[in-house]
Amino acid sequence: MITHARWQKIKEIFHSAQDHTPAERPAFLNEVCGDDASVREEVEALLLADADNDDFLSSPAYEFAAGMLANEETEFSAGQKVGRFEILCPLGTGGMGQIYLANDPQLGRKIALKLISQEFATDPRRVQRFEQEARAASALNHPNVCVIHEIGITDNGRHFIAMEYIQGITLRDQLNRGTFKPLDALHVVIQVGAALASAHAVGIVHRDVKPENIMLRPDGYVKVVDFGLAKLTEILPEQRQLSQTQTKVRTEPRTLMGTVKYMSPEQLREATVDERTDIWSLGIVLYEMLTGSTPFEARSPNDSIALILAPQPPELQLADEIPTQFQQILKKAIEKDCDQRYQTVTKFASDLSSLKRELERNAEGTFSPLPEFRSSPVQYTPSGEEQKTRRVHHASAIFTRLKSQAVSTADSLLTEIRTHKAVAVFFAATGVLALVVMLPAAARRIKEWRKRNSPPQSISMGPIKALTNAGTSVCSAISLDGKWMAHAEEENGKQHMVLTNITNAGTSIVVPPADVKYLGVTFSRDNNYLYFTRTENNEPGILYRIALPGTNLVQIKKGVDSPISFSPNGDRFSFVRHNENTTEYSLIVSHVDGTNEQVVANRRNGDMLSTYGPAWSPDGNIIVCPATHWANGFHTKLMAFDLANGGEKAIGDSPWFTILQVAWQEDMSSLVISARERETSPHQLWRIRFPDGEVQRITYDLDEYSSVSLSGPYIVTIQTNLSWRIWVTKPEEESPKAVAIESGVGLNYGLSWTSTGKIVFSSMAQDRLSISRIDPDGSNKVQLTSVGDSYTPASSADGRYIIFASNRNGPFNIWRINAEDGSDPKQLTFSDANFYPSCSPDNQWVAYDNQVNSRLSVWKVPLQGGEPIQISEKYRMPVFSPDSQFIACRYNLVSGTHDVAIFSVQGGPPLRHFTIPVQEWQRLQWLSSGHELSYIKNIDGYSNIWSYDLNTGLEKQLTNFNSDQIYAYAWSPDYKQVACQRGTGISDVIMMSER
Amino acid sequence: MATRSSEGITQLLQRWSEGEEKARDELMPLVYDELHRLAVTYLRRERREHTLQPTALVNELFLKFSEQHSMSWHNRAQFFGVAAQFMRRILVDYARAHYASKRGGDRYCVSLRNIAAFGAQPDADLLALHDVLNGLEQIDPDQARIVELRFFGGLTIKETAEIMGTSHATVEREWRLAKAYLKRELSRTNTH
Repeated sequence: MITHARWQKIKEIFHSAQDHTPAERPAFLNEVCGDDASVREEVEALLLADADNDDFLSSPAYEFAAGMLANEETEFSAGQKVGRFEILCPLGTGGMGQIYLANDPQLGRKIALKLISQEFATDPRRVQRFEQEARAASALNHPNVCVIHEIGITDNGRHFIAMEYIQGITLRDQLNRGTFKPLDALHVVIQVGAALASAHAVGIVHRDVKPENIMLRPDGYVKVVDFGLAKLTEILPEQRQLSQTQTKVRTEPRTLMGTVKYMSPEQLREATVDERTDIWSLGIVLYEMLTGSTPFEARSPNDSIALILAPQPPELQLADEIPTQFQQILKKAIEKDCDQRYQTVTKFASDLSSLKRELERNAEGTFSPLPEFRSSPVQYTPSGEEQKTRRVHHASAIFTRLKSQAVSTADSLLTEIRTHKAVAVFFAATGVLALVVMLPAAARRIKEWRKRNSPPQSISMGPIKALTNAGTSVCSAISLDGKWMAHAEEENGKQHMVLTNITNAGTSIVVPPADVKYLGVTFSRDNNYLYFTRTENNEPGILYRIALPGTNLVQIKKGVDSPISFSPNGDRFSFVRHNENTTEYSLIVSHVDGTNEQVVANRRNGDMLSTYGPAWSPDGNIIVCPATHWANGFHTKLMAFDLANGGEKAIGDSPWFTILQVAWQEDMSSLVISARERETSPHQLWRIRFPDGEVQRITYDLDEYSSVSLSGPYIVTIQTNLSWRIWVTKPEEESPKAVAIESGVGLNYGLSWTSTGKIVFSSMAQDRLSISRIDPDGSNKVQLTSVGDSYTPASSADGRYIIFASNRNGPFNIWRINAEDGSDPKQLTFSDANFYPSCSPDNQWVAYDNQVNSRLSVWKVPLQGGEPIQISEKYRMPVFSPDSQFIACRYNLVSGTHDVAIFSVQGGPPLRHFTIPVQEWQRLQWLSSGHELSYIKNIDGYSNIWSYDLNTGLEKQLTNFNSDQIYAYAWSPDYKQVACQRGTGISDVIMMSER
Repeated sequence: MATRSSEGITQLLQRWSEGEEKARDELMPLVYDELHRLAVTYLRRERREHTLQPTALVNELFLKFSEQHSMSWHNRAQFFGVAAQFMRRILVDYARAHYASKRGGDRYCVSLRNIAAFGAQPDADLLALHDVLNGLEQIDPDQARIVELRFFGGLTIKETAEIMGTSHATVEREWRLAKAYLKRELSRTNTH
């Protein structure tokens, strides 16, 4: 310890020494220190320390320690809060920061929270670019794109990205375990291509496509993450110069080996890149999946860069079994000259898809127990050339959708069950679902992998064979011997029946197009006859028979409202009848000639039997049929009706929302059903073990599977997928242009335009139907709900609230949330099966319909909450008139009608009752005049919005779309613009086998 | 910083400066929030451009307080002195916690390898600096105060001189020696 006096001396000498040059100092010190060596030593040490000491403590402490202060949160533990997010556990460290699993209390969901490291956030230009890009990416709505929920800065200044939490492994993890088989690689890469295509369509380039950014989910989805985030790490244009490429990349600390290998030549060379760089990177990823390494492997990043920049093409070392076609596609994807490369990822992906189909076809021979079962009735060609056979319809046929399939959701499904006579009720649900994201067999494999709790050695696909490609299949069946497939198809609003020889792909129309609706088709057990049920003029269903291979129609029986199922020896069949007058459903057994009816079971009072029909067990003892019941919501059970003792028993105790068709495996070990777990999940295929009812899922996607028939290991079903976009158009303009502002796949239902100018819509987010809002120009999308399923949004007149139907706490009730951020949820009704809310323009009331026990009624409840008041019975989908005095409703006494009723808000009998050709499952809307209603009308398979003048009865077409269905629409507050949720559903018969 | 907290900070700083130790404990977390925010702002926007004036931290605090309240700190110098002292206190406490959480409470000096790399590990280096500054305080309280104002308070030489009530040249001189002392002490610590 230096004493004070001593320090004073040292200080004095030190200061004085400053006045001397370093050269003079030794002499000076000799002089002033004399023989006090220790003082001299001290001063010398201090002078030494002083030299070159300008930087020391030159910045204030908080800057000095800013990294420490700001980065403290990178080591969060469970329970800590970052902004409003509550950390649950760390998920890992990404290129740009740490990722945590966190809870978002505002929306009550789990999210992946990426906290951007401060080191990336120091440059405001970068941050700005990153934010722009991430916001753009957050608008992407595609099943293969990881959803970005929110981008922002926490209260304590951390940049964060709240993303969809993806349970799965990265492609890198999987690659570490080995290479992929060609088909498996295609399965993944095609999905990545779809994700990139959706981004490129809106001008977003990923820039960093690599195995680390591709997630494989156990259910088979492939998800691409970190769209646009590469902006944060890439070299800014002004920082790079052509000649310095290598140096730049070399010195750029962020450019790690892992990334360089996937970078395109132009990305290494130039400041700006376009979508073709993603094609390159995806090509490299595909190559690596096949071979285990990239074509530009080298000892160092710099050597890799040299290889990539070198003009000569890479040497591809693909195994012999990789088809030449595959090699050609790959070569074109990684052409060094980007002008010679694939120009769009869509083309790249479509070539891969064609290749995949080809490979699948070739693979079929390897498992088929039927030696002749080799050729496909639908010849896909890589170039997409149209077929010459008459089966193949042109693109326009895709737009021709079944009316009954057009638009429906769970509640309309219920309504239809209740009201729609013979048209297969459950069938209605098939129109509203999703896009092919993966093939079921692959999904199954992945599920097995999940079961084993370790990733698969490789994702191997079971082959799927498309038996039709017109996209308008209605119902289908395979013959027991596996040689024939019959299906009904719709074209230009008419349906016809086609018989396909699976063996040689030959087809013939057995029943010509007619204005009928097919309910189902069944082969006789000896395969000599084809039986089918159909409705004509909305009358009860009629059963017909054709002796194969003829076309001669024989009417067997009226009052058959489902496909039939034969007894083992084929002398009798069973079916479901729906008596519309008594609302009774009966399971009936009849002799094969239609005589000797015998009722096996009944359902009434809102309970139903599936009009997709029963399945007679191969031993003849029981008939299985889905039966519905109301018990705290709508449920369906798979019931086994015992023919010997008349008893009935549920198979298994799984709670289904709906079960469509059911089919027996011939050995009676199991049944296959198409069923929904929840109102808003798609109908998927499931195997139910018999008799214990254990459930095994067969398909894993967002598609809808309707018909089910079995032959040995084969399942024939109809797969429907649906995609949609939201368009905004100004109908009154000379030549109105529609602009797409949002796109998606899967279930969608309901659109509203708030008085504050936001468009509110419901769509599938994850596997839930959620409500989001978006600006009319497509910006500022915010997901408002994430709990349960929420749909049919309406907005309050003051724009403060969104009102919608939701099952967030069980049964469907009407809820209210704040329109801005989805906060403050308030439950307005407390019963069951409440749908279609509409808010009165005076902001006082919410009207809605109730469908409990399949009975319709209309109610109103105060917007601020309170006692619901019943307004009427037998109506649904109420909407308030602009003066809040009247309510227009759909009116459903009899199915197939398009009746509309208008009555006073106070209730009482209808004031007006008339018919307009409104699309099924669609509510009406009032126009501002107060004497016109707008509605969706379908002509030639596509929809437009029309108006109906209550005074004159005149109808007028308001929009000018010439394709697609409209699933929902909403008028802007000034009625000058309209937002439409439009899309197509494509239904084809497919055949698959389980291994 | 919430208004409620700011009100508290002003009063607490006063009480603390009047010797009430309890006030310090209450003050810490409140000032820390602000400090943290400023550090983050600095990191996010200003590091490269150096647009943030060195005095920004305490000045901002000062302005905040005087804007939001009838400022009872009539003596600006007094405020800065207390605030800088406080910054030191808080940063050191923070560094201690941070360091302990990172390294399981090892002695921090072991990580100081080389004075040239000072700042590479802000937590450890801050703690080491705090120790040697304590030493300086013993032998030259004025110099220690200058370091506090300059380094922890972020004040300029001129501002420091104003607050110390002394000349620019003196502060410059004393600051220079203090830095030399601290640096030498740090390298000593390091070699031990």
